[in-house]
Amino acid sequence: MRYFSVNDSAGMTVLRDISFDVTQGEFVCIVGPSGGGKSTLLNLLGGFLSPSEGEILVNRKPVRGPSAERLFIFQDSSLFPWLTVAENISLGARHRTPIEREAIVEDYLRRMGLSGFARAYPRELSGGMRQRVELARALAAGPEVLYMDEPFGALDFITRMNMRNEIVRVWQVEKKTIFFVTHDLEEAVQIADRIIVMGSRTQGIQADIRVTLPRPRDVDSPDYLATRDRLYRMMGISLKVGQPVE
Amino acid sequence: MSDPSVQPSKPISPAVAVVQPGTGRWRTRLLPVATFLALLGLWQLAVIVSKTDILPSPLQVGKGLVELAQRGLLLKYVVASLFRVSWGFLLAVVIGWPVGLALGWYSAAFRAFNPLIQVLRPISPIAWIPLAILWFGISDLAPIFLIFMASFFPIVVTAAAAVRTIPPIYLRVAANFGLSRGELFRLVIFRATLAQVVTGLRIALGVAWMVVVAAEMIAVDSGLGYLIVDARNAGKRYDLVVAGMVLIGLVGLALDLLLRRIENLPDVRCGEERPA
Repeated sequence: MRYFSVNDSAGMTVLRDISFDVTQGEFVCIVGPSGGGKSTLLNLLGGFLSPSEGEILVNRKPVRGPSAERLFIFQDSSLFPWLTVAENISLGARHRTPIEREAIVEDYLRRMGLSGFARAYPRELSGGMRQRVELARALAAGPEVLYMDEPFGALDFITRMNMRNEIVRVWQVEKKTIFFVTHDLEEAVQIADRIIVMGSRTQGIQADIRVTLPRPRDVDSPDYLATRDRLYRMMGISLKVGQPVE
Repeated sequence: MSDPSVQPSKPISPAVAVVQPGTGRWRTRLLPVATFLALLGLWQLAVIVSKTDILPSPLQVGKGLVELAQRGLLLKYVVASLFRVSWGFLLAVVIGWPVGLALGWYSAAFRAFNPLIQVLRPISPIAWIPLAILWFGISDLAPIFLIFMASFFPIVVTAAAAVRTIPPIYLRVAANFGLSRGELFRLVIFRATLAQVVTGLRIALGVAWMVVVAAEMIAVDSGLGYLIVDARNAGKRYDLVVAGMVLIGLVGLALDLLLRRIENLPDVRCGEERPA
């Protein structure tokens, strides 16, 4: 059982009195309006920021800074452009023996559908492929937690849908704890076990919803739509597009 | 689940991808060569028709080159110039590259030294000649020093700028993965700045080559710069003067092409398309 709690307010009080526990292997989506502190929260959880009050615990140990146990994945690919795909992926495995390292890289290349691209450079790949390499790189390092900050935001719709499948599949196999920030409510309902809804600045957590829909999530099912609609209403979004002006 | 829209390809060369009449490789070579020969012909014609004696004709220049070769001076002078440029340039690279990287990385050092560098950099290497002669006398050391001065600052500035413009996201990834200082330097800083620095080296070499010629005109008694000055002073041999200029141009071009080769190595380019 792993969990951590967060109590925080920072700087210009970006976040105030945030507190929640997460169990190991949970897929948590953090949604909310822009500027609401989602990324700040992620950085705190991952150790790139320190709370001005309170603490963050992973496995009951306080988080003291960045670590390869807590890996981030960003929207715009952060792959090193001067390393090949294989070299990027092996970044997390660099302390292993060469044989182990090669096996790990091969394994993730295959699992993420990147066979044949080992010696390509990131520039030569499409956005979707780059995100897959990023995932592979993170997984190859064997972290405890993954922190994903709107990772599919820059991708086209179809690729985004594919990547959602991809991340759920990966999560089911690797059983990592995942924090996934997104502004896309549909995305959250489609992939998460749990959705934390942030309000705007300092409003803190508005809601903490458990999504119990079975996977694979059926986007047409009434239960899915009910959950989604609930979120829409919570965020004040109308279900009717193109309301005539009064 | 692979992406069907991407091939693990080498970049397609323009000559193949662009199918237009008149852009085959034969044509792309032909145009500059034909232009060059045409201008050469015009030059020859101009000299003959005007019966001038203040400009040698291409034929005279060509004969001058042959004469230099026969006297054994062509090779000797080219080698002498190359020798000086190599030493001065390599010294500047070996010292300037690490210094530049360090200045770029340690902001305190940058703040400390940058104003000084910005003041020294625009001083033309030619202006250093009197001091160079004073310190090193008429010897190989004076031009080598001048070439070092000419190359050092551009290399330092380029390397420092390259480090300072490494996108912070890469440094964050390095911190996330727990890279040690040595790994950070080897895997990130050095590699991230490599392409930019190599381009800077190529440009610095171009400057160095120009400087060596100027330096040789004043400070030594061999080399292509000396050839030009001596040809004029010792007999108004302007055919040899222009022949010397041609040699300078050709060797300079060769040096530039050599560095471009290095720039285009896959390890340096990292998947970036080659300029056409």
